[in-house]
Amino acid sequence: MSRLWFDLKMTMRALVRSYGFVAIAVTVMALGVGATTFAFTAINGVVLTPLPYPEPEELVHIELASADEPNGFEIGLHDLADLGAQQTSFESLFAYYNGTVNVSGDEQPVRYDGIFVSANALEQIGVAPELGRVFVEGEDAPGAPLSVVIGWNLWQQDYGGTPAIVGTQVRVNGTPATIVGVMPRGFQWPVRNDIWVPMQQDLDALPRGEAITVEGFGRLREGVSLEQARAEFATLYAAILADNPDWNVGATTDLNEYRDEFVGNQTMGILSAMQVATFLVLLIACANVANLILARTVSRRRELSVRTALGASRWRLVAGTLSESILVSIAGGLIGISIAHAGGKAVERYLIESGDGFPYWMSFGADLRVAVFAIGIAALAGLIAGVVPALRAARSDVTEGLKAGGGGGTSVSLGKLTRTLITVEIALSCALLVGGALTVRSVVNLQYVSPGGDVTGVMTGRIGLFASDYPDEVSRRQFWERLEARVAEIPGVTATTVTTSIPTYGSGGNAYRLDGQEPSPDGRYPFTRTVVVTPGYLDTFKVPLLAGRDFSVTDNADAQPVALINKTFAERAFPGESAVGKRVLLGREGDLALTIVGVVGDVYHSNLDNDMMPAVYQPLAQTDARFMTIAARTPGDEAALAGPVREALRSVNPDLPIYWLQPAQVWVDQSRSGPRLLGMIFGVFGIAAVLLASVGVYGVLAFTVAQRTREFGVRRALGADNGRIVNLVVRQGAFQLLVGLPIGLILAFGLGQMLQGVLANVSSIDPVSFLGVPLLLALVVIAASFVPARRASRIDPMEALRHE
Amino acid sequence: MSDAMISLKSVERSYETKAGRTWVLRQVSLDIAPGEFVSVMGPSGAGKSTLLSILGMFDSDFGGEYWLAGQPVHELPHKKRAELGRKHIGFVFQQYHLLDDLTVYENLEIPLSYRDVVRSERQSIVADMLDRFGIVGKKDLYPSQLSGGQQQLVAVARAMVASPDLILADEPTGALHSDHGRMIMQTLKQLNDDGTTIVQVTHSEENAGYGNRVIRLRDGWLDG
Repeated sequence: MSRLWFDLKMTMRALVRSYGFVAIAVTVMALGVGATTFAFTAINGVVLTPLPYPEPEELVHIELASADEPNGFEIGLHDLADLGAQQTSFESLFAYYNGTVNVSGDEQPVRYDGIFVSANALEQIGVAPELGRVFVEGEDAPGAPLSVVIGWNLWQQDYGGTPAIVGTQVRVNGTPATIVGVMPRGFQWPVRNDIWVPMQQDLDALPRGEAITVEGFGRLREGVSLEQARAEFATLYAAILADNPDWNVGATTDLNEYRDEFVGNQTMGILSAMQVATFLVLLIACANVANLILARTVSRRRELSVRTALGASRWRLVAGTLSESILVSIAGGLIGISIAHAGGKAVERYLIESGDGFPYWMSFGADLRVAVFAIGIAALAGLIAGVVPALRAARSDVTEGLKAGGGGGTSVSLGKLTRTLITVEIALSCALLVGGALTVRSVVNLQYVSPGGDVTGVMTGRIGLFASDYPDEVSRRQFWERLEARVAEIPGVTATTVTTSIPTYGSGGNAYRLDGQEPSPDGRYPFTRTVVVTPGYLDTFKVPLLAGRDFSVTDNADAQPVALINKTFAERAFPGESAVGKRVLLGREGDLALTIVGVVGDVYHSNLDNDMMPAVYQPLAQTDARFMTIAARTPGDEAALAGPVREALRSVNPDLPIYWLQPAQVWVDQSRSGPRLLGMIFGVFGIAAVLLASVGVYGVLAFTVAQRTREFGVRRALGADNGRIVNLVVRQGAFQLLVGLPIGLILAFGLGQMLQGVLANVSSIDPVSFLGVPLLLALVVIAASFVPARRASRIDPMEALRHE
Repeated sequence: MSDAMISLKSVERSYETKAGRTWVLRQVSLDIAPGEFVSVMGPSGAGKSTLLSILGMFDSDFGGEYWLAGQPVHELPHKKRAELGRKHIGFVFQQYHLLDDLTVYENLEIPLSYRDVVRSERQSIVADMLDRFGIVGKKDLYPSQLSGGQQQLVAVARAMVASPDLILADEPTGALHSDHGRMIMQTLKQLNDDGTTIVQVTHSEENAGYGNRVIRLRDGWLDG
């Protein structure tokens, strides 16, 4: 212990005196460990953090899957009820679906992202309420008195945390309801939700095909394995499908641990790619620090030889050099934790703000596990970076070292090992930079993907109507017509529409077949997005009319049902012929026949990185919708329309809230947020890699030049001109470049394959990235070589020959 | 084996070069008894430093036999050789080679640490050595704060701190002013009088005069 402490004290003393080396090495390691730990914060948050529910491993997520949808899709409420009645694997089944919940008390209603749940859901999740109770059996029965449970945040913010909250009467989506309980602080199951309402779905009144779909769950009974539950559900669901031959043909139940909901293949793909990328950054950092230590070892040759002469064993010398490397790396690791925490929190905020459903219990910040990982990985990095220089240090020739005195000879070289390390750095940087270039190009390409039409200058806001206030189609339609008319009167508004989906928002869809086609024997039909609009839609979003006509006021409830289709629909369904005048049958039963009156340009009704889907537009006058978006175009600043639009709504119904009142451009930007985040992360990794590599090349060449000062002086004295000296140094960097780049491109190919799933509109072997990156890297390396080379060329021969 | 401290039998050392094999030491055989003060002399390139490197066990790539304190160095594996060296040998270098980052005290302490001497014992030995060499007042100074003579004095103290039987000194006064040089030589003489065997490489006849035997090398051969 005494010996260890003595050596550590000596090592720290040496490091304190070598502050230049320490500053660079710690910075380099902070970058490397910081990047690796940053990726680990995501893995820690997504994979390693246990779900905050009792016995989380018993919670099973119940979905359906099919050959077309192998990643699973929501299960119908009828199916879940039938399975629940027969199954024995779970204590009981429960479910939820997302929905808007407008709560009004004495004041203006406020909108929340609410969750509609089975009565047993909160009880099965297993978290006890802070106040009052959770739902009891029967509260989700149609017509039962409505009760709600609220979350801590809502209780504190809207009700001042009053203990008298239980029993308070409110209106929920227009229906009188009683607050029966408050959930504890921090509980926001399933995502970031603050209000839970029993789903009062009347299954008897809804055919199987029209009931809503839900996220199904169950808590495994003691002694039942997930495999047993899977087997039971597969059998039960096959029987359900046998009883309903036209329903969900080819589908099977898909049961997974609830945790797996958050670690799907794409998530794991992204996390793996990130972790691989950051390990590459770390390896580059290790190579850099190894080179720094090697250089330090060369300049410490005399000291190491003296220590050997004084009796230091090889092991003591190895341990000394290794402990330097490890201490420096751990110092870098401590800074790296801060970098990772800051980066993780920034990503967390970005994901929360982009509305991508970042669960409340997930955190990308640093915790004890992250800290242990960072210190562990830093120590390992220190070991990797230090082991070769340490072995070299311990094996150096003592006699030569003692002769070396304090200065350099005429030709001190860092040798093959250093050159190899530089080559490795260039190769890894090349791979990372290509990965960065691919993702950045993917993001840039997404910026140029038009959502369809033109969203600039359009203000939008979402409104939901409730059956209690607007009980029939006519009253709802009248509301939307009055609202649109009021908004159209706002000065400066040149076009308005009311629609279920604005560009990139995300619309519903339906199966379809063409008039004259026979029903499919296997129940499989092509799928189209369906969007309800008023006649101003094309003008508001400047969607071009390609054939036929736009909707008009004559397309009303009494007229023949009509539709507009998008270009993709027309090309797929009617290749080489006019679609106008043809009929399309919507639904599995084909019970809604629509006559196509026009073909319009394509508009994305989902994220821009998805493939363009066929779309059918229906006039509001011939259909019905309770949740719609009002949109208004102005040649001026659309943000200025927010107040007038809100006023217009108040003049029609002062009790209705409007939410997501924002320019249409915001939706388009949000749809680009995921790829943009990935692009930013990989871009930063790529830049970090290039910085590290250039610092590495520069550092090694600068050291070599310093060590060879006398040699360059001699060469100059013998008549070598500036060009020859510069050439001598730059050539050293160029050779490593020629070897490193091809290796890097091979690695980049592998990384590109890993990223394939998340790249949009760019090939994983994108020639611009694969040609541009080596060129850029070559320029950076040559530039990094040039500075020391210029220094070498300016050496005064007389000064140099006196150099020690 | 004889009672010699050092016994060399037909020791040879050569290097392979592009021009062929170059011999540095040829058939060197000699015995040095305990308590002797031997000076190795000869012109540049005669093989003096190579001989000292072999004696100090920095160089194991030699032919012939090298016996130290009755142990066959030429047969020992690296670890055993290092142990033997730690037990018997102390070094004094021409350029002092004090460790710049360590104080005088720590420079003296480090050979003891390499011999796994416990801390309390180290403190007591170093304190004795500081007293013995009259450098107590300098114990917290760094080498750069000392004159050349003081540095070499510390270097001699460091060579002695682990109580070696043998001190190998490579031009111990080569970098010193003559007054300082004499002080160092007197110190070495005193150590020898106290029983330490000393082998020094020197160009100075005056320094060789402090010893009781001179070995001369020429072109790798023992002269005479």
